This record gives sequence, structure tokens and C-alpha cells, in this order.
Amino acid sequence: MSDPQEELDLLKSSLAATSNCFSIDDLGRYADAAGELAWRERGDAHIKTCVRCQTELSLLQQFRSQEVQPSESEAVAWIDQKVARHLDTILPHHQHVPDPEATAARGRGRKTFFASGIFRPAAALAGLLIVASSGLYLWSHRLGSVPQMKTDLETTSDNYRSGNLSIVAPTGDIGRVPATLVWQPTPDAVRYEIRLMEVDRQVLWKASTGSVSVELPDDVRQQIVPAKTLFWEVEAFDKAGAKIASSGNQRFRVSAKAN
Amino acid sequence: MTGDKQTAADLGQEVFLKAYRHMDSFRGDSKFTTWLYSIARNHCSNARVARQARREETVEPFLLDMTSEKGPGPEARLERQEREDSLRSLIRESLDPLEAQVMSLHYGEELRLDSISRLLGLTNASGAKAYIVSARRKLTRAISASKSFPKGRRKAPQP
Repeated sequence: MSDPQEELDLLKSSLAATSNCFSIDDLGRYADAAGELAWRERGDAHIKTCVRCQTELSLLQQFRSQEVQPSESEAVAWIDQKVARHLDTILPHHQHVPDPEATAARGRGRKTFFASGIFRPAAALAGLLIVASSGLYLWSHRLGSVPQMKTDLETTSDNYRSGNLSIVAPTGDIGRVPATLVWQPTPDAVRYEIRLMEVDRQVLWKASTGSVSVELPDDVRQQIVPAKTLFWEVEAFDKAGAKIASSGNQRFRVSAKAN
Repeated sequence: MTGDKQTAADLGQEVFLKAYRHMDSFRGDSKFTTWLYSIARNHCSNARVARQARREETVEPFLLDMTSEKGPGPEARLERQEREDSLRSLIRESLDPLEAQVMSLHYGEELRLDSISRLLGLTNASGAKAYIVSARRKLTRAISASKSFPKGRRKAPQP
């Protein structure tokens, strides 16, 4: 094959994220040596052979290790306070995946935990601007950040049930952008509320229906790009308006190679 | 990359705000920096999609229809998959880590060479371009020498 465009396409697709690639969350855990041994071993095997994940991991580590500039120290202190206050409120009640570091950190107290975690976010924020001005805008487009890999540590495609409302589709890695969200009926439910969310749980779109499926509007579907992980959740309400069931957050991602 | 620092700076500010507004959604499942990095990547991805959508509005609808119909058949897809796998192996085996990283950012993430140079702190005169040229040369040689690489592809693509 001598078509330069085709060759270029081949090179691009060979270096793009695949459905086996790690999500940023997973890369973060991997970098922290968190998670179960079997999962880390799978990570070792994949990252060792995946140039894309090696690159992403390197950039994440670079992002995390940005030094705080003197001019940013005031902002850093402010962010430190805000984040620490927020985490003080969530950590005692937080249901966490078995992360030895975080567990140990809770035991040691907030200060120790955030000695490495608080100032770096601010540094990372500062670094973010540097990265952004370097072209993060387009750099991140394929990954959406977030090339995601199925993990045993959180909601996955294997979790067809969560709470007491069963999801039908989409869930896990899928071949094309979904047109409809579908779930199983819940006895006594008269209304369902649906939320589609980013990985940070920011709501992209929400709807309410009496049916057990809902169509995604075109403008929402346009935001579901390959290799970008999204979550969705359905809550069922009875005649009195009381919430009677929830699906929990269900993950899905359109394969990076989807056409 | 875009030649538009203002856009990049605006995006950076938006990420700050987004992170602040959605701080309540941070549950400690991952480190704060990982969460923040995810937000940044998602935000930039959304911005890029929006920008692309605006561009596509100017494309004739029938052209879009033509491009969205009929992907390759199963055999062609399989062949393509084999080529990709072979190329990945050659990239891994024949390039040094920095060359592979530059290639990944340039071709996989479609980042511009000057942006890669800044991002990776490359201080040599021609920055990332030097790594691309060197990687391409090595890759072309590796493809030529490879017995397993599918026929007809004997040269690495031009950047």
C-alpha cells in the first residue's frame, strides 16, 4: 500500500487509545501502586507494551509533580483550605475502594495525607495552565481524557445491577454511540429520572420519563466521543414521589476504534 | 498547536472554575490530582468536539452521509488490525522511549510538534521534529526488515 494518507491513518490508529488502554483514574491508581495485586499485574503487562499508556502515565506524573511558583503560593494556600475542608467532610463517611495508601492516610490524619496531596493539586492547577498553553486543547481530544479501562475497583461493565434497579444498556465498552438508554422496570415505579454524567459526575444531561427507556438527543450524543468514559444513573420514584430504586452509576465508553 | 494562546488560557481558567464548582463530586476514589487531570482532559475534549462540530456545520450534508455509511468489511478490519498490531510492535521495539512518546503525542493525540516540544521540555534546536524524523527513519528501516509486517507497507508515513 503506497497511499500516504492511508499509511498516516494506520500510524495514527496504531498509536491511538484502544479499549484495553487505562483510564486516567486507573493510571493514577497504578502510579500510586494502589489496587489489588492482580489488577496491578494486568496493568504491568499492558503498560509495558502500550506506548500510549506509557505516554499518558508520564504526562500524569508530570502534571502531578509541577512545582509551585512563588507567585502562586497565596492561591495554593486558599485551595489547600478549600479542599481540606471538603475532604474533612467526606472522608469519615466515604466508602472507598481498598486503597492501602488512602486507608493508611486516614489513620495518620489529614495532614499527612495531604502533605503530598494538597499542594500538588494547586501546583497541578498551575501546571495545567502551562500545559494548556502548550496545546492541551487539542492534545487531549482523543482521550477525552479519559481513555478508560475496565477495572475491578469501581463500577464496571460487569455491574449490570447496582442498587436495585437493573440497567440493560449501554454499559461497559460499546461499539457505537448509543441512541437510547434502557433499563428494567421497577415494580411500583411511575417515574424514572435519568442522569448522564462525566467522570467527575458533572451532569451532562438529565431527563424524566415514565417509560423504561429514553432517547439521547443529538446534541448529547455528539458529546459521547470514542474513548471517553461516561456514567449514567437511573432512579425510580413511586406514586408518592419517593425514590424506591437506583441503578447506581453505570459506566460506559464508546470504543476508541468505533466507526 | 492552535497558535491561539488565548483559547488555551481560557480553557485553563474554565478548568479551574469547573474543578471548584464540582469539588463536591470529588469522592476520594482517586487522588485529587488524578481527578483534576481527568477534568482537564474532559474539558479540553469537550471544547475540541464543540469546535469540530462548528466546523462540520459548513460541510455539505450529503458528504457527511457518504462518509458515515459503510465501514470496511470484517476481512478488511481484521487485516487492518493485524497491521496496527505489527506497527505497534515495531514502534515498541525499534524506537527509544522519548521517540515513542513524541510519536504517540503527535500521531496518536494529534498534538502539534511545537506543543510537544514545550510539553516535554525538549531543548534541542528542532525540538520534537528531530525525534519524529529519527523515529520515522528507524521505523522505515524496521518495517523494511520485518518479515511479519503485512506486505505493501515498507515506509513509515511522513509527518
